[in-house]
Amino acid sequence: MKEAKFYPFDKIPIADTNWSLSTGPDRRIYTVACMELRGGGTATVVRYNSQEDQLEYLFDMGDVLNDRFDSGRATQCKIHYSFAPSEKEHIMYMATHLSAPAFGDILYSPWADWKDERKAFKGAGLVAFDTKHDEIRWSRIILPWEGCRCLALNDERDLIYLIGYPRNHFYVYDLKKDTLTDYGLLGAINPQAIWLDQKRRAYTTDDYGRILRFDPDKKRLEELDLYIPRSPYQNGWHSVVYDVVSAPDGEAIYGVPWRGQPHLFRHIPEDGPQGSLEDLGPATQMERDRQHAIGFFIDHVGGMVFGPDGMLYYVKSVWPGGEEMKWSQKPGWYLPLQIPLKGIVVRFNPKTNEKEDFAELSVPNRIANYVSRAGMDQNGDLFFGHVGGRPPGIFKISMGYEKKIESKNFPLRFWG
Amino acid sequence: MKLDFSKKVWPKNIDEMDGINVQSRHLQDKNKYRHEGFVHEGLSVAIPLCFPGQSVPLAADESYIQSLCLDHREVLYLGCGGKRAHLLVGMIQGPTGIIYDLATLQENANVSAVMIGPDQQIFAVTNHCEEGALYRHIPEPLLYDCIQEWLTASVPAEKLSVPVKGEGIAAALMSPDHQSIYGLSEKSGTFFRYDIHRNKTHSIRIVCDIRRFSKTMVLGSDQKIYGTSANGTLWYFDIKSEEFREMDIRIPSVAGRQFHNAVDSFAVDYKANIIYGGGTADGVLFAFYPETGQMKSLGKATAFAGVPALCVLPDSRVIGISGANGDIAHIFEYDPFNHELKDLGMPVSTLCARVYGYEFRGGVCNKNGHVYLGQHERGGHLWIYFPAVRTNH
Repeated sequence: MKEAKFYPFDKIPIADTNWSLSTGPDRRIYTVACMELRGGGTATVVRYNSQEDQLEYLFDMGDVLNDRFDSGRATQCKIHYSFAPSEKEHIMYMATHLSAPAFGDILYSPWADWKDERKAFKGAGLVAFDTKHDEIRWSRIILPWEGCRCLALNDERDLIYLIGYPRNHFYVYDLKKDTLTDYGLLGAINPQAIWLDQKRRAYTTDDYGRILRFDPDKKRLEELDLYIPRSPYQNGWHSVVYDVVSAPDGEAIYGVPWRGQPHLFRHIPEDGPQGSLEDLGPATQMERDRQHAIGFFIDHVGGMVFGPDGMLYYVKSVWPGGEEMKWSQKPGWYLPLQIPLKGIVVRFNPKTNEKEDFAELSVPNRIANYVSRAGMDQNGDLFFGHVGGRPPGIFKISMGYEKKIESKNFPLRFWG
Repeated sequence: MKLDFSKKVWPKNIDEMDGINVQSRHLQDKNKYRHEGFVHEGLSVAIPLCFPGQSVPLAADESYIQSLCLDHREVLYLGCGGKRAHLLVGMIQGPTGIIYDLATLQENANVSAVMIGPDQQIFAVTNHCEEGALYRHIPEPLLYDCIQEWLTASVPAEKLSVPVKGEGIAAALMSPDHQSIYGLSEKSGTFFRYDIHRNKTHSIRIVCDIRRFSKTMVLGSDQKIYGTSANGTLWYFDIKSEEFREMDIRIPSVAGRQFHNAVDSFAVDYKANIIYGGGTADGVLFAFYPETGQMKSLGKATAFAGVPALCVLPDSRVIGISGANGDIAHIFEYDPFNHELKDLGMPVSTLCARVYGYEFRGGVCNKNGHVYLGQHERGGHLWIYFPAVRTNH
């Protein structure tokens, strides 16, 4: 199998997670060192420098948004699935999310502390980073009190579609007018992605995996008669989307939900008035104890990216099936670090629907099964955002292409 | 562009902070703090607007519940809307557990009031629309069973009248003799009486000459209908004498904010003859005693404005919702025996639907003390709150 090289965020040793990685309009890889487990933690945007083969630490989101780490409020601690490149403007848009407590605090509840002027998260900030001139074009808080779980850019209409947390509403932010429109509650569980079709209509899911579509002309969130597939023993609850990627030709979208036994699916938005959805089968192992409500850190698929060869790549988690309850460090501990988890990069052929194990991610003395997002750079190399211990980092798989990938063969992903 | 880490101050982890004993009992089992933010006395359960497992819920953007009422069989009628207004029926007791759509009323509207009238017919009025109307529906027979097999059907509602041309109807209630419906229009605050048998509407008066009035009314034990005009000033209409009077009594608010204040919801303890209410401006709860004219401020349950739902239990406790649009709602309880106002936490449901409840409007209590609450959000659910049992009365 191929080898993957790990690049830890070693300049930020107390970073604890990496929730986003994306290809910028300059075809370079942008990612983020998040700090959500300690009070006062802030997110740092990081970029991979392919010429020097190392990471560049660009800026701190708290500083850029004028919301310092020691403000006394819950901090700008992460960028969740919220990078979106604008090719025409050379801008990488990025938005922040909450969870870290305030500096010196131990706990934070976005529900209980809602609208507390002294303690509550100020709001998700949107930053426009000019990748051509390497500077911040502008920054502003666009979603008061809430974090941004995920977003997508409609570059034709200068609109950002986003989902807030904790209230889980679908919003449309107009970049030119600086206005935010609320289209209402999606459900209890945050979908982890919004994706777009070629008409720039936005898609996401409700709690039961029903596909919702926002049409910017109709200005309505429609409930389609399409559901994310599941196994027969499941009732569909918690089938919110986790990660989605567009095929290079833009006609099909591939995705996985955020639930146990996630199924890979193919969505063809233009196939009829509602589009169509195809079940491509379970993306993680069948061997498991079904009487155990498995944690999504163990049973996980993420990091979906199309490679230079037109194949779909993603990372699946592998564990000793049937032993899910055995490895908890202590009762109630939801992150069993001693379980022998593996992160396997899968290569999926969209023409034949065949899956094969392609690479294994590993870091000595660390788990490497959980990948949040992935991207491809101009050299055709694949990058995966890693979550698992301190500091997290990114993995790179060199695909061995000698020439740079041409932009026309390398459509950007307009969502986080 | 590169960050300079040489002067960076890194936040400390809990075990690095001065003076923190990580073994402290206050830090053990920290999840208890999260749990206590949610309803921790009694139990709340959310039910989707459908037959769970058999039908899909009502369209999400037509599911903003706004009004509820119970008939003599404890069958629940709900009014909801958004893109379209609907009259729903909910059967919860016995072998049922189903909510279904009785009738679609009109486009781009909601239902401000649902009432039981003569012969158990159901009356509904619409608001948040260009022109509100009054509808009537026949009573829904009890379903035989919703476990073995079932048969449901619905008929259209009959549109009776447009009480106030060009306006929605903010509030309405049935007269005790079931001969009339009293209502309040949304924009001008026209208080009117609709004669059910004659199908005629008579405008009585404008309740506030500067259009700052409560979008709700209540019928007291004294056969008077109460509402508020500007500054939260109480008015009443005496059904028997047909006298309308603006009283010299204001509902409470935070000092100086009376201009923003109106009643958000009312509830009546008919046994004790107390009218409870909550204000829109600051969410201050009050008790009004019609016999003496005394107005008592009971305080605020949370930091939020608004009390969009309120009801009185058979044991005289008051259950309500604190929080306005855009907030995260809390359920609260006022116990008149202990004189205690308590925030019970944020509504969360893990039985039936697994959801949070952030915004509500409307609430009724059945004879068993179960509180039905309407979730006023896209994809709204019917919530049932089962209060904790009190043993100290």
